[in-house]
Amino acid sequence: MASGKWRLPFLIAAIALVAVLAVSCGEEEEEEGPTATTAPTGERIEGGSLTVATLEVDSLDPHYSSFSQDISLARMLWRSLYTLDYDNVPQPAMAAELPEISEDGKTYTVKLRDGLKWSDGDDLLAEDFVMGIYRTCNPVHAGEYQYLLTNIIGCDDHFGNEAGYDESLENLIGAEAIDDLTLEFALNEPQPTFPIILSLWMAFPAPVHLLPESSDPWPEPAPGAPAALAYNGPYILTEYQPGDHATLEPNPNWIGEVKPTLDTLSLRFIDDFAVSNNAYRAGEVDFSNADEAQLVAIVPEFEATGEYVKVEIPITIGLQMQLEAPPLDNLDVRLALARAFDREQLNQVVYGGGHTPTTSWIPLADGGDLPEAFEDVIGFDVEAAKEHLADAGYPDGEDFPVLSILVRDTPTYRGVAEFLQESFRTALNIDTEVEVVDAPTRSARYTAEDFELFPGGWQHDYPDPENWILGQFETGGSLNNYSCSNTEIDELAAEARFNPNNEERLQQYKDINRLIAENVCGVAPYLHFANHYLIKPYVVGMEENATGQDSVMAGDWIAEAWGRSQ
Amino acid sequence: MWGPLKGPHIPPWPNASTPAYNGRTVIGYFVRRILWMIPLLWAVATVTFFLMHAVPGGPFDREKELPPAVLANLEAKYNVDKPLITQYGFYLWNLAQGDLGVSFKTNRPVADVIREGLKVTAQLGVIAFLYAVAFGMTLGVLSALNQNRLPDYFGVFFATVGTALPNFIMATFLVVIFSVQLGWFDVLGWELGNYRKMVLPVLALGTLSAAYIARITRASMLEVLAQDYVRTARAKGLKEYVVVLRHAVKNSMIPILTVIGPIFAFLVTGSFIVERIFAINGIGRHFVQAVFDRDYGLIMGTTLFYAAVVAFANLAVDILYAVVDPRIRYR
Amino acid sequence: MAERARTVERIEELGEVAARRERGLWSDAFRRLTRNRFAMVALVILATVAVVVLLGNNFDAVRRYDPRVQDYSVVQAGPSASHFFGTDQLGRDNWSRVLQGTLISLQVGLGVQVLVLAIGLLVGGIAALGGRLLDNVLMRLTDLTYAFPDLLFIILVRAALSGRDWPVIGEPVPQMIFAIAFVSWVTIARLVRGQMLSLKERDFVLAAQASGASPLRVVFQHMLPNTLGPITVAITFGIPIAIFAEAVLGFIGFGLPPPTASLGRLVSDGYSFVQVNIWVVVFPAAAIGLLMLCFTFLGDGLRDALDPRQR
Repeated sequence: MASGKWRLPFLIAAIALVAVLAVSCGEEEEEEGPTATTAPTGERIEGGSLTVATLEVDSLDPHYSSFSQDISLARMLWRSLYTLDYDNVPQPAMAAELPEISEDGKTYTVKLRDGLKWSDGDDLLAEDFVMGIYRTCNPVHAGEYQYLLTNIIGCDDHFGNEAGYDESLENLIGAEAIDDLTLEFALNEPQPTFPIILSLWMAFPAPVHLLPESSDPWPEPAPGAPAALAYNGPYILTEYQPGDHATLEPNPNWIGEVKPTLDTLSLRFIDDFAVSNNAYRAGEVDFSNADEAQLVAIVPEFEATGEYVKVEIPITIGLQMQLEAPPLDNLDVRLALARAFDREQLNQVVYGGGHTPTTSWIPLADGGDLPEAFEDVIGFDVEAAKEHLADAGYPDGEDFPVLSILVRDTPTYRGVAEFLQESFRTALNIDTEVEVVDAPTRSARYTAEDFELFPGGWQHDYPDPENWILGQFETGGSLNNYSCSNTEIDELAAEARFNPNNEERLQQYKDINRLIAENVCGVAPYLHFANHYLIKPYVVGMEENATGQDSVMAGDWIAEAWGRSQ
Repeated sequence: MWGPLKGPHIPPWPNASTPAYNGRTVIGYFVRRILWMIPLLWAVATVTFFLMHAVPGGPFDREKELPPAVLANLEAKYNVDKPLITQYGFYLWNLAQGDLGVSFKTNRPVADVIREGLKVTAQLGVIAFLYAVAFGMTLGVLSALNQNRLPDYFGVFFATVGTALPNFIMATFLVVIFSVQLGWFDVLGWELGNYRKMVLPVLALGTLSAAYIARITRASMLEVLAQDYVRTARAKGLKEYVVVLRHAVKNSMIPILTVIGPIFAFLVTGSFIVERIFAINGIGRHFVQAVFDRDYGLIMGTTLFYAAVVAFANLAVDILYAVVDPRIRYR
Repeated sequence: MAERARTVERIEELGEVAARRERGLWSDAFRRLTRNRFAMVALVILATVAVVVLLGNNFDAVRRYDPRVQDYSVVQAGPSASHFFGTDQLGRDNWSRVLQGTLISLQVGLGVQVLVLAIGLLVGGIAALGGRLLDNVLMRLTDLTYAFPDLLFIILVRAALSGRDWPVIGEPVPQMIFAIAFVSWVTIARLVRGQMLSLKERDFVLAAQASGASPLRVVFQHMLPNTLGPITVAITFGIPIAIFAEAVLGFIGFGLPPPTASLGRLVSDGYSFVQVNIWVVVFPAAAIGLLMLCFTFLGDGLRDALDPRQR
């Protein structure tokens, strides 16, 4: 029933972006000259076609959409000034080199490469990139990722304008074309991570020669869309059949180092992974996401031939608890619940062993801790769980109220809920009620903080621990739906947010990570997720480039590297 | 599965005001029926509109919350921030001018979405309908004519198994056995003229209806064959096939007509399940997906479309009924 | 004076004859039913299933395992001596789950039809006997309900009712029953109306009215029993349809909440794992099929038995 796989999560508001970020990122930025974003590719033949199963896009507009599959397609068709390489470091793409930053860090000057062209032959100029920024900041389009541009002067003012589009406000936005090949950005605050922002989809250029006004509607996903657009990415869209497929062909004017070798790339829209798996088996698609519920069968079926590929992704799921709903406000109760279920078994039984059990909220790769780091604090231990429950005043589950576990109606979520329900019953002798609802209801209730126990989690947007904490765990944070409120965490977060000393900063986030576990402050983590792909042996470039950066398909952040070996 | 859930369409006859009692008002009656559809559709639109806003969750409720500024702009874009009555008014006003609104998910006109999906679904639906009627009736007639002999057992077997198996089970097994294992047919999609993509979806969609029709036809034929006037026709020395075709089949069609309406509506508006399992881009999936997405625009559009199809199908059946039922005509 | 008394006597006699004829008709019908082999077999099977299911849900000896208990050492096992129907992905015993599911499916099926009968009789009866205006209004109401897409309505009704702690209707199974019944009462209502309308003119009804019986008595004692024939048949056919509808709802994600599982929910749960363990789908699907077949044959038998043409 998955409509839209992992919706890319939202960065927190201005605060997070204003942060003086990872010195690690900053260090690499000082390397000399642009480094090539070469991706390893096996031997690719010239020509051939690939059919890839994916989810249908809701919008072709990169300045509006937030869904993973939309962004995935947008990246094949357009590119921005910079692009992130393997190490998530921005490298020049449409820009000629890294930006020139003013003394006060608030002005960025970017020079474009020479001879850039749109796929239809028109010149790709600075004004096209400015138009992209204007469109994202335009309230008429209600761009869901607009807040990432909050640091650009005037963007928030225009976007928040209640009266709608206002030309005067738009002209005040800090994005300007100095000349045909030079762009200047004016920021509110210094932001070393700004080049990362300039690699993302909301900064993709908009074809001014086709859509002259920023309020012009972007063509919707319909048969007429391909002809109404121009592209500067590795591929162009030649055909779009709603609900069925989209066909892409190489862009003759693509200036990237890695060139597409395929004749056509076909994206086949299939909602149900079980269906796309069957299509994969029958040879009708060359790539599919594996159906999680059937991993138990899929892994033995495809492992031997190397067609099954598992990629760790930066997602942590845990049992979230509403701290304002008694008795969950009692730490002993939360500890009892956290220690009453076996993560290993959950992983095995519900997900066929496809993910990684964990007790750490922030993954190690993002500056967190090892999965087993807090095993003795919140790990599976029935005796300890019983003790905690007794300490809380409910020996052997006596008089414990019936809590509800709120989940979406998918096989895996139902399995998780039933597993938890049973674990609580056998370990703690308490009854829980499972509420299975559809996705919008679940989201609405989560936002309204109307839940008690809620299996859910977070996917990072960029590889830094602050993305896992800020807004989610401080008292009153905008994403803190579980009402975590801990003075130590608040203090550490306030310090770490603007801490120029990177080592100290990272340590502070690790401390917060530990505090979250020790206090079960809102969530008891249980799994780090992985993506599971089925890739035919003759496909080149997907498995090699599969990283945590993938949106929906393996290596879809660098689709120009895809090809066939025969 | 929704057609049979509603049950057969029982025409609103006979009653004291049956128009057929007086030939002159038959046309008038049908004109009135068509005119009646307008308030009917209005009622459906109204009930749908207010009910759908009463359900928790909205079109912009995402896994991760949207920032307030974005939400405000989105709601303004789709007029969801206005009071309910105002939104209702806008909708009716547009509807009166033939504008079905836009899908909140893709911003495409609902009319376009329905039209595109309808092309595929209608093809699949009509072919499944023809299969159901042709196969079902033939089977039923043969069964009845050969009561308690081999063809009858086969017919009854098919009829009972066909109605006992949920269609998503049947579809899954068909795909796994015939597409994946044997490779005789394709897993994905629908293409008119390409048998590899046509056979399984038609079977999956139409078998339940075929079995149902077979059962009814058989029962009805058996009844008719035992009637006096059939025996009379036989006694008169008419050839067997004339007896069968002219009298028996025509008269046994009457009960079948009561189910053809809803079956047609069901098949043509598409089965969500079959379209999902075969990844067919028809409108069937939109019916359910729109509700899941709380896509208010598309919900309204598909509901009205469905109501219109059902109303017309029933009207067509009532007309057929009037044509076919001898009792009504004679009066 | 004497003449009038004799007339009244005569009318009373007619009334009695009519009543006797009705009773005779019922026993006639019963005899015809018992002679129908398919229907009898179906009835026996249904009775057996009912007994096994009722026992199974109350006695551990029959069901052998608690359907909620998850045993992770025997996940996705096929049928065996220890687990008749195998186990599902959480290690729960399928046999006990199917027993529980059958009970729930039967509850849903029967519950829906009882409610449908009640609503249908009410609406159809009032439409037939309440005069032209009421008739028109109610028939327009049935048109509206008929034109409404079922799924949307069921979702909306359930969404509107769930989460509120109302008695009875707050429970998931009654909610499901209510929701399905709400979209399926139209046929019965129209049937009842049609029957009542034609019965209104029949001799024995007129006789009963003439002999001074109150309108209520006429309806309940004379008319209603005669409408029951086709209605019983429709109801019997409606039970498997309701079970089916619940199964489809379960499949698309609007079934009953865990851990209770109707047969439909069992099938749709198992459907995701069909490549892994086919038994988890086969047994509940077979159970649905069996119930549907039995009710269908029973319905056929009832219809033949109660067929007015065979009087």
